[in-house]
Amino acid sequence: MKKMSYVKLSIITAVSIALCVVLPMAFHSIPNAGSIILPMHIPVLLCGLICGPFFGLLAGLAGPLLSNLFTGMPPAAFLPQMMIELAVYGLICGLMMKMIRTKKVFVDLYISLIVSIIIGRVVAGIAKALIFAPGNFTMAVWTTSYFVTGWPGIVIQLVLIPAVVFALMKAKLIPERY
Amino acid sequence: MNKLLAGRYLVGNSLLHRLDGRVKIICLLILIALVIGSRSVSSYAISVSAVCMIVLLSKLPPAYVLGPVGRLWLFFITIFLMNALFFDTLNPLYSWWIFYPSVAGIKQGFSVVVHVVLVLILSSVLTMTTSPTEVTTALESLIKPLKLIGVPTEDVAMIISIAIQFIPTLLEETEAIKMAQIARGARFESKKLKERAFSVFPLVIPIFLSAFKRADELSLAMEARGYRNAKKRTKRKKEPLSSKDYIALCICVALCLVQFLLLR
Amino acid sequence: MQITIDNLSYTYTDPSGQTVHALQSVSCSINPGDFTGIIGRTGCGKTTLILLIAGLLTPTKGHIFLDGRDINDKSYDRNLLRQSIGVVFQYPEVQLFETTVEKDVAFGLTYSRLGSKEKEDRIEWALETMGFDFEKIRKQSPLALSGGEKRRVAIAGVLAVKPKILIFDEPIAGLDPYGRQNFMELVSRLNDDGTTIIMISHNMDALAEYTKRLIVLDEGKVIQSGKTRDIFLGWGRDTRGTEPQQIASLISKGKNTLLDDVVTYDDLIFALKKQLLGVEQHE
Repeated sequence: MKKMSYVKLSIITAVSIALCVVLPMAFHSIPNAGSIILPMHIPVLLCGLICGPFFGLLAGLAGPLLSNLFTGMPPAAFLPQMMIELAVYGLICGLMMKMIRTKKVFVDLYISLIVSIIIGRVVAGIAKALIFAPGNFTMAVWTTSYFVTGWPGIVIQLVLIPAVVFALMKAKLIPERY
Repeated sequence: MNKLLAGRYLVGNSLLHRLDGRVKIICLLILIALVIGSRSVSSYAISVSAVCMIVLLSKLPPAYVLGPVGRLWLFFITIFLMNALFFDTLNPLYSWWIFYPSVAGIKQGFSVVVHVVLVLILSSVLTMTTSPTEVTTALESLIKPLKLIGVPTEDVAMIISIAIQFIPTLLEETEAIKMAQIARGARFESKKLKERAFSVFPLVIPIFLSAFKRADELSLAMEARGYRNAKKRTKRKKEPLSSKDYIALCICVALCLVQFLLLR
Repeated sequence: MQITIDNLSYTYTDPSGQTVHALQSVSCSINPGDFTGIIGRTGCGKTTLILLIAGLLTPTKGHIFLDGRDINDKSYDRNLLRQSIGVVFQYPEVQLFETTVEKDVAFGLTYSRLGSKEKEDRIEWALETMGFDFEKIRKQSPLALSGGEKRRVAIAGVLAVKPKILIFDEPIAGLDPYGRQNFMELVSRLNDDGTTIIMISHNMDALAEYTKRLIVLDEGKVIQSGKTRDIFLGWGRDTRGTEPQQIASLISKGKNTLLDDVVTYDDLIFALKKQLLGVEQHE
């Protein structure tokens, strides 16, 4: 079971998009957890890692959009920036996993995650600045503030996401990478 | 799960409810361009009155429409201050530490807030007069041109439809897993950050395992029935646009033209 | 631990906006060491009742007392509640998430005040009780096990806490007859050792053979409660009871004297022996 079929990849993407809507709801009742673990990011990153850049991009665009339609979160004001950020996550994660082959799954995952998160956050910071406060100084402020306040969530994601990938491999729901 | 699948949609029979979904989305985009293009007092007047007309035509309770705006009050203050205090570092009214309040900044801040509020109201009206299924069907139609650059739009449409169907099932499953783990002693609501952070593992890992299992089963079932991609999928019959759809489009475009001319 | 349920009601609004009265003024008690079955049609409130007893839902009205103390009182120690009551949900294997069986079973013991040696002993006991070889299974990944093994690991996870009260929601659904029998005998042994057992099930035969008391729910209300045998004997004549009761009913065909004391297969065999061979003593 080395490669998954197009159909399977499509359905996994569908499930990831659905989880973009469901996970924030599950964490909504848990105070403060939502802002810490950034629940919508997890399915998109996973989709990118497991299914590749096209599906990751799709999940990143459709996830927040559907979530807004069904639960009103994120509010429409934040929607474009979230869609851009998550789309970048999904796309870059997928590309990195295609390009990097270190023979160690752990390393592949970490490099892909870190690179995509950094690029994604920078792009999102710029997008946010362009939309809400265009101006040279403000752009720098937005981007750095986004980075600085988000780091606990990033750390948790870096531990959680590989754990999920390994669990899925152990349960034989996705093929082993090597 | 009816309430969930309705999203923010309020059933109604206003003119806006009856417009075609695709037309509404296109008009939304045109009107957003209108709003963002507002610079002078007169163009602001056009934008604001257009938005007010839309809200009236939707027959939605104003409190419901303004709800999302109200909830973001802190955000609006933040972006106003961001602009007012940092925008124009060259001609400040006075300066103190890293803050440079300026007239240009205040104007900028004000205009950004107004723009965002108006766009928020417009998109709220869209989601409140159009059910989520209608919106996704409309989007699926509108992205068809992307086929020309190689995007498999029918597959995208199928994936989104399946995603929507999974939402209620996965939500139930998530609640069940949550209960089971709480019964085992998981502490989701602890005051300690570390405990809360680690508590996500017993929730997130089983949810993904369960979701992927369902994905596995569905894809096996689909492949067993000969499914390869969505090209041969039976298409829904599309309803033709009516006169009110065309009129709506014309009005929006006309408003844009007027504003464009005013700018000159 | 004595459970006393006093005038318990649970009402909620479902997603389509309707008000659902899941439970209405339910009162009953479960004594320490009881083996109580809860039965009723789908949707009658059985799962809601056990969720309330386990403190996973808050009642709309009424109280649940554990050894005389209201579990929904602010001063009640939630940690103590989790350690005292164990719940095995339907398809418990979904709750598995750890990298090794040992760690997953240990999850419930995270907030117990046991030392690490005691914890290991408990985990070993729980896994061995569920039929595993501790040394072989402990380092394996729970996610790579077969369906049946997963379920047993999940149950071991609940057993390890050694709760005084064990609640099962349809535990034998989907098990083959051999698995069913093994499971019921295990639960019976736990009950003999003093654990109070509450079990929701649709399997009449299993309930008739093992439970001592029954609570029958219908549309959120308790319509019958009492000794298992009495309740089944009361049913035998007009509705479906246990399989032996149905057989006895078929055999007697209107004469009905055979049914007088038949609930389980043992009863049926004795009644037949009595009628046909004149055997007098019930073994």
